Amino acid sequence: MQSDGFTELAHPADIALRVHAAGLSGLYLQAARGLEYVLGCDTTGPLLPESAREVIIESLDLETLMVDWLDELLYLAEQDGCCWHASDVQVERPARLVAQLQRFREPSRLREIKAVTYSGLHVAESAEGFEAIVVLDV
Amino acid sequence: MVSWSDLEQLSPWEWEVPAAFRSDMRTPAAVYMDESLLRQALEDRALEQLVNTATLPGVAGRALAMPDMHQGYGFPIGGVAATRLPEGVVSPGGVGYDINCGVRVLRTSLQAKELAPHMDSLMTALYEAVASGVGAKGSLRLNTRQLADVLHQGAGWAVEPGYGVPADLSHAEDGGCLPHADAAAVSDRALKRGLGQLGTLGAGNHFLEVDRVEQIYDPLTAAAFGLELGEVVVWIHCGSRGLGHQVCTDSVREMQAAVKRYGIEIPDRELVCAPFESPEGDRYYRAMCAAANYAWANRQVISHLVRETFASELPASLRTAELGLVYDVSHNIAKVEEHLVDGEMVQLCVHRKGATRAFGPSRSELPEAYRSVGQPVLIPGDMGTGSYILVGTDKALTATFGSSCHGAGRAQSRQAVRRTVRGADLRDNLQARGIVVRAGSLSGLAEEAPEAYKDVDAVVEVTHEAGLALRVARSVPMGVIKG
Repeated sequence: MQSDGFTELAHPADIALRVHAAGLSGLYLQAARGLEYVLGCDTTGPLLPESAREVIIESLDLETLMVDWLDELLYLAEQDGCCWHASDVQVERPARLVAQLQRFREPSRLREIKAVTYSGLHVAESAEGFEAIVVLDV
Repeated sequence: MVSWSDLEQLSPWEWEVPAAFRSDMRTPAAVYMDESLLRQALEDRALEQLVNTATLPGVAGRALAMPDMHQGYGFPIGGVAATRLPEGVVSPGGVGYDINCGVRVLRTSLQAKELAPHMDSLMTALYEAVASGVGAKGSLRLNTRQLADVLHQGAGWAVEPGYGVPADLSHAEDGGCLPHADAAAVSDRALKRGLGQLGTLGAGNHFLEVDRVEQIYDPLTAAAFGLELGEVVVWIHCGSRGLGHQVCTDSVREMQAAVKRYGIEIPDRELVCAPFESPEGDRYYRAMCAAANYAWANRQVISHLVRETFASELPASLRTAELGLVYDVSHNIAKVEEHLVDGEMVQLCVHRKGATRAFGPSRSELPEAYRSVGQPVLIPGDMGTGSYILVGTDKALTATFGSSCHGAGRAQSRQAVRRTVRGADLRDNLQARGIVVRAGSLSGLAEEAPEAYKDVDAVVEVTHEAGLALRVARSVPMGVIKG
């Protein structure tokens, strides 16, 4: 069985991620990690425990939930000028997500991502768990 | 996937995928490219995305691709599709997330040799004056009432208190304002994102360049545009920032359910759409117009900051020059326009995603100054090569709903460029060639390296030969600012 994670796929203009995990909740956690990587978050520094916040999202389906979840993280990063790190993510069917977030203590110089797209979007069970493909508009 | 054998060649510059290629196509899909550009385009999913746009309900004429087409999301970048009103659809994916991303060019009346000794300090001052980079906040902080005014008035909002002159408005596409804008159609989240970003460049492929006019191809039209050989011009490329991104995000999300409700079959979820006159379609169009107006106001405020910086940084002997606006074009937008389809003048919603309006002299929408020649068509290249100013044609009106290319178009993925280009090396190479570079992020700079883009000369050659827009002038960079 492969470990949970993500890889960047070639895309002519934008950035595509393939995310994989053994479980559905892990898939959305790894997608957040992938976004941290794409944004260029400095994840080596300490977190701010007092910044903890909970995010709850309900969507039309699991694919829309992936877009909404990553859009929420993008929005928070732009508004606060820093990365928000997901420490725990729980996903329930049909499409509900509850996540615990904390800010990094140090601000990061972030890459601009305009949006999370539905282009080629794919969230599905695979032989080894779950897989998603997400394209980010740069 | 579309392959070479699926394409029918109509001329050296025009190819067509017939409507019979796929059962869901409502119309053929046409591509304006030479053989070399077309072979590049076949390497990704751009043509498949173009074919997808030919399935949109109400699509009129042909689905079209400009010479710089490459894979995008939903529509290809460089895609144009018009839908017949009132029954046709509007699709936020046919505009993109950066609503009214566009370009404007200011002429300076300064000769490059006069400015050259001051370029280092000028570029530093411009970099400090025009906020760039991710989440950059501008020097203007709007309250919600002011923001609503920006969304309704566009560039005019900025000109009224002095961030420009009235001539700026008459030299912008649509006068820098779309009339159907409605701030009430814009979500609270989008409004919040717009409060602090007016007058900011952003990041990615957005830039501010100081260029030298290196070549004039058409002296008469260049004179009409106020351009001279050796003159310094300023290029500004940016859009509607987070507000526009959020408007698109909101509508794409809302229309995921709407397509089902209206029984519209789409081959890609990013192509979601709704009938233009439906509540969802109407709400999107009004919000999109508001975001477009924000983008025009944004480029107007940046122009003001550029003018202020030129006035404050240059020696007195060079300060006499007025930085006049040549033109401002949008290359991510949907607009209601009238065009001839099958011999009949009809009202259409023309989606241009990575495509520039290129109206010829016959159109009444053009400013008085350009009505005898056609509108300026502004085509930025990459930061190491050069950019073009073309002129729109009446041929484009019949061939492409008055549209042409919007840039060089990407040739390499960001991932591939990052593997081969170091930002510091690129900056040093450009500086060794006399191009002053100011960039917020060296990795971001690397992703925009000249080798990431197609050959802008080849793209413009096809545009010119196909008659979609004609070459007027070419400029080369002296200084570049990247967010």
